Amino acid sequence: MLNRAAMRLLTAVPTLFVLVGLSFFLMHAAPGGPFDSERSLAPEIEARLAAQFHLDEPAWMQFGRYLGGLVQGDLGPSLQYESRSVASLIADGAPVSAAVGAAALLLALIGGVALGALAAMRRDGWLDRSVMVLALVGLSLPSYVVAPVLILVFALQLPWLPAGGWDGPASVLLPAVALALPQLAAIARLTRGALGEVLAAPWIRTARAKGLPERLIVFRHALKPALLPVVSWLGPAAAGLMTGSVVVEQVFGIPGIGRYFVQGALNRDYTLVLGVVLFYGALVIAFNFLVDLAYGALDPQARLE
Amino acid sequence: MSGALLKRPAIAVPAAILLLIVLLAVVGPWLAPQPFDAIDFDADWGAAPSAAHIFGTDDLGRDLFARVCVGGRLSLAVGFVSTLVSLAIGIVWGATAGWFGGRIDAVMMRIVDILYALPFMFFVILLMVLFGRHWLLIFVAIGAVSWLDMARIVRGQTLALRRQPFVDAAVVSGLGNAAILVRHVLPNLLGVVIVCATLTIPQAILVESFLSFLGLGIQEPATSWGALVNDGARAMEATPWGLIFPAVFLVLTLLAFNLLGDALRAALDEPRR
Amino acid sequence: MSVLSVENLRVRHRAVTVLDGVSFAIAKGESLGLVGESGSGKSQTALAVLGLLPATAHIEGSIRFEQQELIGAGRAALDQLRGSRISMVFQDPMSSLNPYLSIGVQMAEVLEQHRGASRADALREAAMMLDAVRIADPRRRLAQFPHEFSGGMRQRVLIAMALLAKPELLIADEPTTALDVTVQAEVLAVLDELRRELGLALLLITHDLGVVSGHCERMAVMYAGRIVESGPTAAVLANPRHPYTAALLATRPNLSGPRPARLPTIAGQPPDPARRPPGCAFAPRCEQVLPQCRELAPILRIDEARRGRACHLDAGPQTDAITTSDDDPFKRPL
Repeated sequence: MLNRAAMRLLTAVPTLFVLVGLSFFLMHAAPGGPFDSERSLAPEIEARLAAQFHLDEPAWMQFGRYLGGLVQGDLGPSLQYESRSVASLIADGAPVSAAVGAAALLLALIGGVALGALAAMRRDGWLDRSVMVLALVGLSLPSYVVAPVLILVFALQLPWLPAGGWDGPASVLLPAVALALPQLAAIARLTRGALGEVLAAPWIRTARAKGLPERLIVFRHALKPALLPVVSWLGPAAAGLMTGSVVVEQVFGIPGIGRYFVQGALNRDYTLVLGVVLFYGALVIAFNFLVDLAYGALDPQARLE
Repeated sequence: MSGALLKRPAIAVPAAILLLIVLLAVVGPWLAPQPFDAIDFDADWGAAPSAAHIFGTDDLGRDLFARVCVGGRLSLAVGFVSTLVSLAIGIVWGATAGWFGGRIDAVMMRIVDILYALPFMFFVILLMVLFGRHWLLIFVAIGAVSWLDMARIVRGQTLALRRQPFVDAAVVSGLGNAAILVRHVLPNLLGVVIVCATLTIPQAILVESFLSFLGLGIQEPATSWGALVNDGARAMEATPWGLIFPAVFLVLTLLAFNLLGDALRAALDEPRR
Repeated sequence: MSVLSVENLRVRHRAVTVLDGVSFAIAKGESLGLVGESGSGKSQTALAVLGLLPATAHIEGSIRFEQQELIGAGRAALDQLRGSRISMVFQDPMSSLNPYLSIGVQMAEVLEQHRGASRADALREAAMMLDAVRIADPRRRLAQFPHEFSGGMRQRVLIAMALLAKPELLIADEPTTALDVTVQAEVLAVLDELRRELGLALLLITHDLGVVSGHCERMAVMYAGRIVESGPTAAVLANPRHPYTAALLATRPNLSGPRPARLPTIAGQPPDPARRPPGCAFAPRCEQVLPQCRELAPILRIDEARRGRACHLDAGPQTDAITTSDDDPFKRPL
């Protein structure tokens, strides 16, 4: 698993390079440009703007220039937000997105593992069945259906929480729940399946024969191996949360990175889109790296490999 | 075999629900009082459900029942077609990696691993934004990002089949790789592929509705469940039925596919126990 | 005074009866070998004693440990005994240890649980016990994980773990079957030594008559969920009284005598537990079968020499398949 983590780090740079390259040439191959929407732009002004941002150069030169900046940690200026750098836009949005994302991840992890464990311990009982059916319903509830319903109930009918915007910790709650729900359901299913399998293992029978109470058997003996698939799932889950944040930030009107991405793509704000793609790509890779390390810490056999 | 499977409620119930939904999407628009994009000037805009408009009308006075049915056609079509695309890519990729094994397998699955870890949705969004919102592009783009699970599963199964005696026998009898794959390996993959496909369809529907919700998917006057949910969510305080009906159909469809996939997988696992 | 006495134990999984009236007793410090083919119900007996059968199993009869009834005892009551006064060593050393926990943690938790020992004290005792089962460098070994041990060492770890709390009864289910022959001898030697040292009663489950003859004072032979013959090991092996035991002994290669052209086998198969014949379960394969064998299941009768046998041959009339009176020979220790 350490090999795997090292491999992950080694492939990180080429992966990000491919990611940026693909996005870059995709955008430049597409019709339209960053200054199309402003209709009344005089040709000479547009030419001046193009020259200012080097858009008059061939695509490969622009790409080279972009990479050159990247090496020095410069994500370039935004083409749409005047006099703002992409880095500063991301820096503005990142804490907001991170707060919602972290809250959602925590919620999904704690809720999912707890529900899954409960179901596994009552295998084939009514609790197990209802948790599993609920989890399947959760998987089938897209965040953009959950989000409006949450607003309708908890912000409009019962005015407990803000319907949107970004004003204090209370505004994290509803978006985090909407974002967490599908992941919570997935984690509950994973945990239940894995824990059910582990509890049937011969070494669990040994633990029972030692006279250990069920609490110790589940928490000391079974939970750790049962969490391995959950830990592996955290990589894709993080990607899923980032994707979901695009919608959730839109519905709740939260000033996070997800909104910049959609707006940036619509406006052909090349540098902003590239910056966000790069940021998310790097984040997911970093997350997977941590997952690899955590996996190694949990599994003594993987540690040796 | 399929008859025995259909006798199980866990399979029959979701299958029947899906059949009803598909039927409604196909036939429904003819039962509606007006075409999905026509405006009823007699009814109030955003009218509540009534005898004339059983799901009510939207904020332009269009019949919601007709719109939900037509939207369903598109959502379901995306689900099926995109899944076919993902099947094609996933099977070729997975079977190739599993069959040849060794370095080829390692490299191919490493690529899947890397792709798996990327926020792929951003690519789809980028594609949609940049190349217009042509429906064909939606199908292909969604299919192109949902083949990873299929590739992994097919690769695992192929690897296992590779060690079976009847495959060795085919090799000994001088059949080429491609012929063995097509004639001996693929038919044995059928079960897992069906299960995986059943679970990919709701994913594809979800992705399309996600794009449409962002206004990046299907364009007016065409519509889909995702687009309808988006319209409905905007006016949910005044006309909640605009959100409720498409959302219920969307969620019910996703749930039915997920239930069906789960039940089929359970049925597939049984003989091994 | 018997440590363990099992009376008329019946275990059913749905419609399948796996134990059909098993009775035996083990005295303090005694070792009993439970012999039989796979599927005869040996392991089911062991699991029943420890209360480890699945919750769906239907259990009847009586299992008493030091006068305490175990059938129907609650989890808390069982947990007081398991690992503390009754221990078990399972068949497969490769999968019987938790691969995700160090050996030290898995051993120490026994003493933490049953003696309220601190982790440090528990580890100290665990190290001594590893030393007793002849595992070198026990301090360092405690920090290691199961995959860092060989099969024979893992089984010795399991034995050490089972004996850590100084139990009165050890149940060993095929403890050496998964091991190489040379390792088998080592493990059994360790087991013997510790048994004598601790004055431990042993229920040794095996299909290997050689293991029984070397390590058990008494033996009981199981066939299709019943005990068909029991008695002092030497006497049973020298002079089997049940046709099944006799047939079983005849299938063993004799290393000292003349070598037969072919080893004899027992014709036929053990009965399908779901479709058990009426009468003696061995009747369809028995060469000396009598008419009543196919109708009436013979009971285990125990004579003055404490030899038991469940067979109609030369046994006189039997009126009832199962008797429950107090002077029932079942209730006497073997």
